[in-house]
Amino acid sequence: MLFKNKIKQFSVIIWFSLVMPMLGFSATHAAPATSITPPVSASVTGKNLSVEQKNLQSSTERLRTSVPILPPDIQRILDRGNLLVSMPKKDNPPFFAVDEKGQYWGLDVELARGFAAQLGVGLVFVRDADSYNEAVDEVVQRKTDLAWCKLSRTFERAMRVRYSNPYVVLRQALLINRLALAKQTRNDVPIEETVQKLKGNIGVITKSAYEEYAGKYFRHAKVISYENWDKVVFATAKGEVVAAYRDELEVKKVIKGSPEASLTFKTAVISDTSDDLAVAVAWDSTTLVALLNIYLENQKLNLNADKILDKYSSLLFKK
Amino acid sequence: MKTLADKQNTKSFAFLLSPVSMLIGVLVGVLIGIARPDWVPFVAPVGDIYLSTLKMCIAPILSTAIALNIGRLIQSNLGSSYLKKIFIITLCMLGAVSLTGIVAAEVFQPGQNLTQDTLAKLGAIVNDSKYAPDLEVELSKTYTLKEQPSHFLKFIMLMIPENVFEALTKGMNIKILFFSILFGIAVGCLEKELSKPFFQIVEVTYLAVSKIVKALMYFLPFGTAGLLAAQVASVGMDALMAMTSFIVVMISSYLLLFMIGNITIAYSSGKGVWESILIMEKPILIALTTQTSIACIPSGLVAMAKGFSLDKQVSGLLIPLGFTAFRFGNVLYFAIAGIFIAQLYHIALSLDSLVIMLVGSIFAGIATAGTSGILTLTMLSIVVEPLGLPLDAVLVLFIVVDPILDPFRTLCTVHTNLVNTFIVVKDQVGVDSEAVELLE
Repeated sequence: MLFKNKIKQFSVIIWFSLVMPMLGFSATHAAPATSITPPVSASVTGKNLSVEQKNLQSSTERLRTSVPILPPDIQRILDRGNLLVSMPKKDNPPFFAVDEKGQYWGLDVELARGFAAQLGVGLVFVRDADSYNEAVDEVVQRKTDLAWCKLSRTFERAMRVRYSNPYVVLRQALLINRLALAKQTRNDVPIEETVQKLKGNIGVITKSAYEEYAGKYFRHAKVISYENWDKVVFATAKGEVVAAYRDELEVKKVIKGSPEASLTFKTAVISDTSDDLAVAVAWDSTTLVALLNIYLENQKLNLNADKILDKYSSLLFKK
Repeated sequence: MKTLADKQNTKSFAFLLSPVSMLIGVLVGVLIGIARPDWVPFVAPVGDIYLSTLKMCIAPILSTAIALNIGRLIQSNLGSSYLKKIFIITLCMLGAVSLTGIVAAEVFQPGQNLTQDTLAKLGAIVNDSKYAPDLEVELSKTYTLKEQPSHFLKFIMLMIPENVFEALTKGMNIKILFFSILFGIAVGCLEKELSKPFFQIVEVTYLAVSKIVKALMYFLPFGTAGLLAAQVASVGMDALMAMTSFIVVMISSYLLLFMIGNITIAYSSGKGVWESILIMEKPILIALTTQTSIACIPSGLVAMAKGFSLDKQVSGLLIPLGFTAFRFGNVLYFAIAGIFIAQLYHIALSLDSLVIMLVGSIFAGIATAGTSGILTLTMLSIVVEPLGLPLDAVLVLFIVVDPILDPFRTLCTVHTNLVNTFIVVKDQVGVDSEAVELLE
């Protein structure tokens, strides 16, 4: 064993002293291939690349020529020079949106920028998907590298793609039409139980995670799918459905965005459920997912719905 | 000699009883509330002390007045005819008040066609806390009701005191009322000779406490200033602006009833409208400033017995009973507020629904007997629940603007009860003036 280790150490030394200079590596710049781990201090916006990042960029560029060192999923991105990120066509502020000047902004946009910067590649948002499931499909079909678009981690999707660790955990929530709820409310039944056993129609976005959740958690209700969230909210306001079902952030966004909505809607957070937001990659992109996890962990995000709404409130609720 | 000096003293302070002093008290209170809210912490205690002292006299007056007068009424053999009269007239009055509210709300439509701006302001009031949801529900948890639903049976149970002395010590007025009625009937059924000493003792207690209350009237301008300053300062201007239509319809309806009542009294008493108002000036002012109808019982008794020379037995029974149990102001409030909610949510009310609301408002008004403040407003659920209207969001709005409406609501309860008493008793004028003299 000891002997074997010695041989190993020796071969590494030989490799560094002989092979690397041949490839053009100077001794001071030599970074072992295993330390692709991005520096913690990298700014999320990716606008100002630090010296370390530039070094890394040049080192990864050189590494492209050293064929067997990089895993294929990373190699593919570096070869292309761009990280392709799937996001549905419809903006979803404060996660991903385009402002009037055509600039991308939002939590997912910033995180994706930072990640691409650390990989040392450009960033391209692919906005072809009509739904969240279609964004996942794009990853499955290798049209893109990631789906980073406020994507809920569901079992059904996880059978087809690999997920990063959740970077935000939201709770699920209902936006309930007060009038419709009052009709179901009974004197001798606690209001919480009325919500648990909500009757009538529940509105969700079509092909979203909530289609799956609604059937699972609200068995007394009929699930009705709408094209987008605006339509779900509109249907709830009209009383077509008793409640709109999504995460607490979206529900709070409705109330915060238009104060008069709090007369129409009652908000209920389902506190023992969660909606874990994670990044989806192709099932065999194991290194990419590992890098994502390291990157997300280093960001020390520690986010929840209220913090996100606070951070982006000036952009979200501008008049 | 000493008594003479006392009388001199009393006279030199008599100006404090004049309407002008009252008006000064009101003005000072309102001005402090608007212009110098930072003075409120120093002025408000004066009002609180005044109100507490006034409330101190409520339980003794409530219990003695009712027991005494119902007992005497029964001994005079006029009891059953009067009770029937009280019942029928009061019920008609309740119906009329509720109908007034419904008509006013249907005609002026305070909740209809609110502008987007107004709705946004109302929503902002409801949505006071930043991101807090209205409700947190766990799917896996079994929830139980925190409080039992309010049923008619429960209301009856609430009226019956398990322990009379507990009710007296804790100031549970509706329980005191219930026991006093039963006790008065029981004493009235006893032989006259046997019950006489009891009546004497009770009467002395009643008159003595009334004297304290009368002395308190000298401090009314100060109490008024203190109470009003705190009241005015607590009104949120934003809410006021957004709820303008509701407030205007509500106060106009109260003032309408107030004027109808005054004209009725003036017409049947032969006195002028302004004179009638002046006779009832004290209970009116105490209602507006303390927003506690039972605090107006003593001054209401004096106004009826002295001012209009009404039979003190029936008025002495009907005023404590009515001020506690027949909350006309609340009935009107519930009728208008119920329709306001329906209009806000664009629910067209059929005739059936309006009838449900009319009856519901009367029940809810009676169910508020003994309560005051925000607890009163929650009884609105009796009106809106049968119609499946949501209350919780709008209730916040009602609570926010209540400092403005509560004085008028109390005024309506007190004033309409005075009118009610007048109508019931007016045929029997000046039967027994002995006690009235004592009161003076």
